[in-house]
Amino acid sequence: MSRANLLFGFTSLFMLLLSSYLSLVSSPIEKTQGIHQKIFYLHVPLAFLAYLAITLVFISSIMYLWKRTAHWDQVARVSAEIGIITTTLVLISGSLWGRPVWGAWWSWSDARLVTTLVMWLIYMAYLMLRSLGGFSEQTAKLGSIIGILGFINVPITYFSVYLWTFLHPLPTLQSSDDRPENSILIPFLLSLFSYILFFLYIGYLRLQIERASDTLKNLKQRVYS
Amino acid sequence: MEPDVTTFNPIYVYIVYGISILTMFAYLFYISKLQSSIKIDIELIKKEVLETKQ
Amino acid sequence: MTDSLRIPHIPKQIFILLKRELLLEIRSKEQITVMVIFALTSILIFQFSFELRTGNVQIFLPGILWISMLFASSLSIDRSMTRDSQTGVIQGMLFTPVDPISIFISKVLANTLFLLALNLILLPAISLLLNTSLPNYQLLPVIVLGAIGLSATGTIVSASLTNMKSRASLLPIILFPLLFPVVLSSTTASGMIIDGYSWDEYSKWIGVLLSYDIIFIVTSSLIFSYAVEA
Repeated sequence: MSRANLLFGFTSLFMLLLSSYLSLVSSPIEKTQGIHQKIFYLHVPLAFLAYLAITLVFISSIMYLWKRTAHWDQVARVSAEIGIITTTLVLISGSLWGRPVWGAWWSWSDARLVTTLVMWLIYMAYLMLRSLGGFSEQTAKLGSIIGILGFINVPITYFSVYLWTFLHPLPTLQSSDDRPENSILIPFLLSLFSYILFFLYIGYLRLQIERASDTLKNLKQRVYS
Repeated sequence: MEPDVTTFNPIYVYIVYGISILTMFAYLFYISKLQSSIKIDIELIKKEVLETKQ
Repeated sequence: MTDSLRIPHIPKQIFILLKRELLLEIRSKEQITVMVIFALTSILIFQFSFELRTGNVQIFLPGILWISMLFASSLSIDRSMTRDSQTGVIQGMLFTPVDPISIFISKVLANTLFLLALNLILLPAISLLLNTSLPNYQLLPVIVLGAIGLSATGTIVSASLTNMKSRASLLPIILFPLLFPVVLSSTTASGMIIDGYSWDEYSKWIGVLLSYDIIFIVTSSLIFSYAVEA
């Protein structure tokens, strides 16, 4: 691993630890939610990454169908992997945030929650497809198609659940965000930045590995056939 | 649906942070496992190619 | 020098291909039979699953209708795609000057028509078995738009999955999350219509269904050629 790589890795890890410290220890305890509000410093950046990941899957799927270079398919696969991890963590952290603060582990009347769940299912569909479909160009094409359809499904899903909640009004788990003050905003931005950095780094590592793995599989197909 | 848990029970926060940090490190571990298995496969192929050359 | 072989433009292509789909179905009756039997079986299962918990099964009417349609359509669309790919028809069609978009649109239209035909049997069956009155004509836009949504997504996913090893297990995993907005909107709108809401109140759902249909049909048309190329 090159020195720049290593430096980047340590920096992002350090930033992650620093922002976790700031979020947990030195940021103030919020009035209405108490200590549980601190989950927000982790939940929101992860949610941002989860939705960013599916956007990356979408873009790389389109690029793959257009350019047909293995690189774009690798980016799509890596993004989907990071996507499922962040989405799972978002759902878990959201649930553990909602239970003490609003009294419920889950709420179907929250459009964001339900949409995140549907997105999780789309990620699972994509990953199951890639793993069951074997290593071929056909699977890569199919993955791209699902990546594109899955992405456009997300805003439609959000809007339809949002509309549905007007018929079934129950308290939603996410309160409206009014302007947060500096003592909350700064740890939050730092947290957001460090999570993005960290997952970019992980994604880059994972991409190298995926590239090597693909080359290896191609080699194997040639040597063992 | 009222919260029946007091707002000063930090266990939820600890669990969330714990799970998340564990997951991230587990993923890093998984990546390094992948890397070593690729290295092993490369060695195997090298041997195979050298053998077929002879 | 005149063009002795004039390639028909796209609406004509769609019409010809659609005629083919309908003719095949009229002769073999394969898809409709599968759909009807599966749907009726689903109604039976729902009736008994829910009867035990609540005496009034009619509140589940929209759900029963749309889940039956969901299962029936995914089964039959997959069946017709497999049949076409096994006989090499789609590959053959791609050799002709026919635009892949026509193939896609004709299949979507055909599958929609089959789903609508299914409803001719399904709706009376539901009212009969569940002891409700026949749902009123206002349901028609919902059923048509929902059927289009089910067909469009079902067709593109099935087409992509042809020649894949584990297609049977992958199909519902991929298809159902993509169809979530259709099922949600259709059941909600159907429920509102049955409960007597006015057009102003449920028209938003028709709008959602229409948007889904347009967005998915346009996107799928663009990527369909990638799905079926060799």
